[in-house]
Amino acid sequence: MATIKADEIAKIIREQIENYQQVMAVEEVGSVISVGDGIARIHGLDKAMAGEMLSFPHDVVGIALNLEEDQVGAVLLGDYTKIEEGDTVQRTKKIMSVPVGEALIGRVVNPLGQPLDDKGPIATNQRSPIERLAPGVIDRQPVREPVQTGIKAIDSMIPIGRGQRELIIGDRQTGKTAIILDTIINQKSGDLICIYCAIGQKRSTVAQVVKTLTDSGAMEHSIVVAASASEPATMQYIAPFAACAMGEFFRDNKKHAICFYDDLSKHAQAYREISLLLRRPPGREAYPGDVFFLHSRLLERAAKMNDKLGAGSLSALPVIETQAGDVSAYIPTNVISITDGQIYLESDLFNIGVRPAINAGISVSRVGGNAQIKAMRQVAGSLRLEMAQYRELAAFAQFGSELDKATQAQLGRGQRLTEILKQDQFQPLTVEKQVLIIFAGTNRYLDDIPVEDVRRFEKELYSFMETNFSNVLKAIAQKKSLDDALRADMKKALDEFKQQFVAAERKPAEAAAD
Amino acid sequence: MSALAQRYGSALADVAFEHRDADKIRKDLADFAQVFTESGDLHNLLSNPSVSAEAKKSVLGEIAGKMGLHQEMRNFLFILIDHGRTALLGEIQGAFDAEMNRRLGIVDAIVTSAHELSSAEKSRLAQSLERVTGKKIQAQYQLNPQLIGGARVQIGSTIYDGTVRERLNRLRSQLESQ
Repeated sequence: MATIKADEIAKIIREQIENYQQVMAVEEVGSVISVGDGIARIHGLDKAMAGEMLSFPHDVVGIALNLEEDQVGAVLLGDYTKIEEGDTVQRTKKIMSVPVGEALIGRVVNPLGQPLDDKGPIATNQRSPIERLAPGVIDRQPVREPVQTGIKAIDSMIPIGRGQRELIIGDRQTGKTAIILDTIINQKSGDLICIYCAIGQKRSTVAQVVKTLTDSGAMEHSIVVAASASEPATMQYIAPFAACAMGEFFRDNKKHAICFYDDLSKHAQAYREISLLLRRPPGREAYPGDVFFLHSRLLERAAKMNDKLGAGSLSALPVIETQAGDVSAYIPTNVISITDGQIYLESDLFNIGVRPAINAGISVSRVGGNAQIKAMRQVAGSLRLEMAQYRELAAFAQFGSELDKATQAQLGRGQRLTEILKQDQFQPLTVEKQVLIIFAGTNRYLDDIPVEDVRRFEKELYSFMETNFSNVLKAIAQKKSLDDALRADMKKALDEFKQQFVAAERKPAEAAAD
Repeated sequence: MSALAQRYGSALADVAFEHRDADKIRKDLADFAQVFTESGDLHNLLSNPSVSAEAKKSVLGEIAGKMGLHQEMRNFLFILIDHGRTALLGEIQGAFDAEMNRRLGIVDAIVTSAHELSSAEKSRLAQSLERVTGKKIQAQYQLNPQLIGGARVQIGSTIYDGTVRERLNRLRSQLESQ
């Protein structure tokens, strides 16, 4: 409690006494019939509305989820062990809301918007309801700006636009969170605000994420909303909605934000727990019937607003964890059908060293192509084609031993392209460098470099370009499309570097021969 | 009050209004419910599943004749026996009363005050409550010295609170939040 002077208290009390006759409290109340497992059943409250906040004794709040003929079922937030049968419950006539605003940036909060870090209270007066209607058709426009993830494989072949919803799906330990972290780190000194929502994760994992973001200076444009595994299912259930409400603030204020929901499988499980305790009928895999609607109303709130509304955007990158690669389970199919594309991560690829372990064959982005910068579209078109041909051939070539020259060349190029799409963690690349290396790959500059040297070639190419041809990189970044002059410049730079690289290669080999 | 009891209660209310004998049926139901709870023998007989429905009905028919129960009331009790819901009788009576009150525009009010109200105060309070709710008020009066002063009225799930205790509570939460 803040310090308050004695005369102030006296003043307040005096005012209250003077106005004593005027006010009468009108409340609508009910009484608790039963309580347990974070669920309360309440008699009375005839006029309570679905989703309304209810106020219990001991500062516990609840959300009315089930309105039945003779009782109301509510989930409880906070320490519900103190609630007893017969306690009085009041309506608040408000819907659950969280604080929103710029003050949240750089903070770690729980789903109620209370700080979990040691940076003091959140300095904002604005609040926003956690459940809001998604923007209508007229309020939107097609995506047109890219979300640069800094990951070559994604930015080139599965581009994500601002306002898009792109699913990240894969088994455990395939690098799903790594993609998110790379994306957040790559937004440094950009205008995209990142909201990372951890649902049902270990506290240690969340702490690790926060530390990584802090160390790389990425917390300055990020918000972390955490409902860890030890918190009640109710908290995990509202966490993504709270994160979305925080993101909507930026969307509606002409800014850009992106929400990462890590992960929605756990969210569905939390919702299943609540629903079963509320005795809603179980459906497939015991999930309630409205689990599809649960996720679609969350993800529909991601949008690119039209110019009249300020052209802000909220993108969403939900994560789904599959069990043994089973993407046809209930929740994965649901979320796949809601989102505008998906990034598949496979443990087989991860184990043979393709990291990020993206399966480019079945990953798609349905709308992001329009948002790609033109230069990237120009080089990535042939990359996609070559990779598709390579995968087809590679499957065949496993059986045959004698291959003609053209096939061998195709396989070789495929191997080298796979190699250049590999990328270390926390090493996001600028778009001009991505364009350059993919240009080199698809224009056969790598064909005579041994596969194991490709990554070293890539690394040395970047430093060579930065020292000798930084104007070419700048030109790509500024023009955002490749014309003939720029192409010629790139070819010249690549020729020069390749000569150097090959010569340096030969020297130690010759020395060994002598 | 269970949903089941409400169904029986509102069905009986329908019948009572159709026959324009609402008061008689209401009184009969209250009388019978009292007999049912007071007489252990009758209670045992009606709730014992080994006694056939026929036997129960014949006993009930005689009692109904002696008590002078309305024809429809007797039929209603027979239906309860057929459906095996005699145990719900007390609840059904409550639901029926509530339903009748609702249809007649009467609401129950629980008035809690710190001091005994004079009859003039009571009628003034009832009048203003009738003005607020637009219904006839059937009030029960309770005493609770802890309220210090003023009165609290509960109608259904709405509370009109004008007590000193509530004002003090509110003042406390206001000061705590500042």
